Amino acid sequence: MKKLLLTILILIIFHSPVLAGDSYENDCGGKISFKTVDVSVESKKNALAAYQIDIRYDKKKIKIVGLEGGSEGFREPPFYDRAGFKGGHIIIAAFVDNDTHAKKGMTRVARLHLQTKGCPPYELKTEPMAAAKPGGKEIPVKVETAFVDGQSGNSKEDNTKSGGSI
Amino acid sequence: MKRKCLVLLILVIIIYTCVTFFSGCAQRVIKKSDEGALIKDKESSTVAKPSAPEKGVEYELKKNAKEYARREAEERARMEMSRARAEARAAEESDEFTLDEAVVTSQRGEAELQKVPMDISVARLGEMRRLGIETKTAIHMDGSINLLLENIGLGTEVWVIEKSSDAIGKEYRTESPRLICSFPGKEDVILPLESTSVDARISGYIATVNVLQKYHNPYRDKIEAVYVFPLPQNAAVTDFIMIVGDRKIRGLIREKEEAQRIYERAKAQGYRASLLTQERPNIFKQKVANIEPGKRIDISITFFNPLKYENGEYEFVFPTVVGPRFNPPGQRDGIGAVGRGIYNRSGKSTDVHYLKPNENSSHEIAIKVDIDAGVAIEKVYSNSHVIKVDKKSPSHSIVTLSPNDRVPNKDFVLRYKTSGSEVKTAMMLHKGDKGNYFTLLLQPPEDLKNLPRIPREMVFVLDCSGSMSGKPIEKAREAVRRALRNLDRNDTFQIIRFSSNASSLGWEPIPATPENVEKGLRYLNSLHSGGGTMMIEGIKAALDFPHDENRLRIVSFMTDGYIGNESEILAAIHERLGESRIFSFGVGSSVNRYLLERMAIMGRGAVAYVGLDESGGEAVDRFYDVATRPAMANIEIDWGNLKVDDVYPKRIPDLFVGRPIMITGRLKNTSPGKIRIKGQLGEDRSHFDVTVDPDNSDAKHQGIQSVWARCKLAELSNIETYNPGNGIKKEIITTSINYNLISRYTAFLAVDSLERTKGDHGYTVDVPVPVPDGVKYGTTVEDYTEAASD
Repeated sequence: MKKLLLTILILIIFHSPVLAGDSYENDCGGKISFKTVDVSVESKKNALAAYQIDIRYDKKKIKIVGLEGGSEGFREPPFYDRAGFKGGHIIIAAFVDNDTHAKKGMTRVARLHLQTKGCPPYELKTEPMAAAKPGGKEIPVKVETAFVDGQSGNSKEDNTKSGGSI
Repeated sequence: MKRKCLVLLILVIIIYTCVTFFSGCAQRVIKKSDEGALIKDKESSTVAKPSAPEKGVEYELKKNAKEYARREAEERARMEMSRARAEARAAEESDEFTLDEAVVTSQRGEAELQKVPMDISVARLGEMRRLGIETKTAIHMDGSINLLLENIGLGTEVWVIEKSSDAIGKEYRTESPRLICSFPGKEDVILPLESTSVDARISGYIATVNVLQKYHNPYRDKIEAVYVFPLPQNAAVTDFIMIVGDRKIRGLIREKEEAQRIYERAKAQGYRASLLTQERPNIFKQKVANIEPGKRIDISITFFNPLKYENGEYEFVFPTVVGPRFNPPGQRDGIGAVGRGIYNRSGKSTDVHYLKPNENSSHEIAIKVDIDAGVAIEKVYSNSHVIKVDKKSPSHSIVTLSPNDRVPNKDFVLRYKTSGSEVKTAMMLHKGDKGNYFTLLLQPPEDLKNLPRIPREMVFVLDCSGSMSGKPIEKAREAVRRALRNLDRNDTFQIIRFSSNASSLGWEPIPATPENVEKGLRYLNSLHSGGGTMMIEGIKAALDFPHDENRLRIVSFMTDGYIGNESEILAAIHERLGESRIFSFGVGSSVNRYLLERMAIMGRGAVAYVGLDESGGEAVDRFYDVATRPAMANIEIDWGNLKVDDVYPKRIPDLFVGRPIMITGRLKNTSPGKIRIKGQLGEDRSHFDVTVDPDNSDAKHQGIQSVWARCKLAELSNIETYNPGNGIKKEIITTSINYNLISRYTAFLAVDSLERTKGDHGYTVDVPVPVPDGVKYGTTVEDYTEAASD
């Protein structure tokens, strides 16, 4: 009996919409909202002076409605290539306004303003195309994206992703 | 045991019920907060701060009250300061003003000041003009008016009257002679558009121009600001940034309908957003949503603009106001001209709101032009505005608009001449990610000047509509007078007038005998302005007019081009043109240059402009001299070993003396070579060669790609005008999005999704503008005052 009750309890708890994390998803159908995604570049020991990032996204669910700069050195909004823009594909690029502003480690380089439709997850893949340190020498980097706090639409706020969906 | 189990089961049921209940609440909260505009203030604050204490609310109210009080005080101070300034404008318009008290100083503005009671002094600008003294007026920030006197002949006694040095400040006492005074009786209008700053950099013959519009909210409620403004007709708008505090958000180009939908959603949900649309190639509409009380949002727009080069001078033009357009009955997509505060009355898709004559705007314009000519600059001047020229080096000058001349009510026209002989035919190149693009400034051949004049049939078409009343019609008459007096005996002429209808001096071409010219002059003097601008009637009358086959017909329109049905006019010209040429004169302070330029291109002619502050005599003579000389026609270019494609314009215009043309295209190779320009010179086929080396040329400019794309869009729009509904829309959209260039079917959109502003989206405030200098409000703007009071 005790076991039976425990099983019922577990089932009930996991069935609960809040804890299952789909409270929004069940109700978000064709809902249109606006969200902000931060794009950061991890350049480890190298100072980051310039980058070019390829962004592909599900154009049925996402529309990019603004491009903002990031932290110091990358404050100016990035430039973008709209050649593939109609197909859920955009390339953003920027360089530091001053070489002394190039920083090592993780740098927030841009902020994407999105209009989203429907339920998460939203497919938005980022791929570094090129990155350089002051002087122009190419460096290896990793790109990470994350919804700005409270905007993910998921119950969990830890939505940092490297590539993949957000 | 059973009892324990029962308790446990009850506990489980309670937990489940609680969990389900709270999850339902959470879902409702999420649902509500996503409904945007439908959320009431109270509800959204409940979501944001479910347990906000009363004290917090009280504090916020107090803070707001303080803020309102501060803002009201500022508004009052601003009103006080600008009242006199507004009054000055009224007096300026009425051409008459009086001084209560002023100070007289010497012509050089030295310190020998003497107070004079001025209660009996009356000055009339009109009288000064009759004496041949050119006058320029400018409104000053402290509410005074500056009067600049020019063309003062030797021996003329001029009284220069100036305000006390305390009131004006030292800097104003060292400039030109002036009369400064204040006037009672005008209402100042506080607007959401504070200022426009124009920062242009000229390199070669392409200007890179940044326009910064500063919006703020001086009201108590949240607003959406809407501003209809002009840009040069050939401006390639490529960049759009919304600035919120120290954050800059770059807008992206999208199809117009889609951009409008996203903007409306963002606005409804409380996000800051901005939308830039093109209403005409030279008229744009800026919308900025959710500007909170006391906050500001700036908009930065960047465009490339090829300069005009004529008769050895470059010309940079920046229009500051859209002139009031006349729309024929039944036209829906026109540009309406309505008084401030009048909504949904014109029936047009876009309205320009104009300030009444007794109203004055707080919006000012600042212009800076950085000219890096590469060769020595001989002369820089402006006939439209008072400017300051800072010569950095022989080839580098920085021009700024005088602080006393910042009312945005006329085109800013800057001309400069470089040293040496005329600019040679030259190619500029841009190697971009999408390929190589070039522009070629094609100079007419030297021997064109030596060709004999040929008999002409001149048809002068005068716009006598309401917007031309006063100075514009006078200027137009003056131009026709000069042209009539310079006609050859072998020429013929005709004068046609149009407003709501069209009529003419006669029904056939009139030989240009001295007697007939006198008759023409008398007819000219009898013409008065008034009524609508049914330009189509003028077009029909001029182009359907019986033609003398032994002469080349030149149709010369004299107009400000204030019409909203440009497409209809251009289509009518295309249909009726035949062998006629169109040489038009834009008359006024803010001419519709898009219309006149397109008419000239279509009519294989040229266009010139006469501002209200220009005497224009020489320009008129030179223009008609060009019109009466043969051009190099039917031009073809043999590109030699250069591989080019997508060259614009598709039909190369004729080459006239002193008027080079710009050709742009894509280049597949950049090897040096010789190009041959072939054309018809009178009866003969002629050619001339030009050597180009695009790769080694110093002349490079990153804007060339955008200039090319802009020319392509213009060509596509022309095709669409002549042949609507032929599926060209898709090509315009593709070009526009691929080259990030605004067009009639695309728009720039920027949304700040980071933060949602509180409350609904508030009110829409249209930014009213002054009627252009020299244009009368009463004869051009639909005021609807009587209807409104009914």
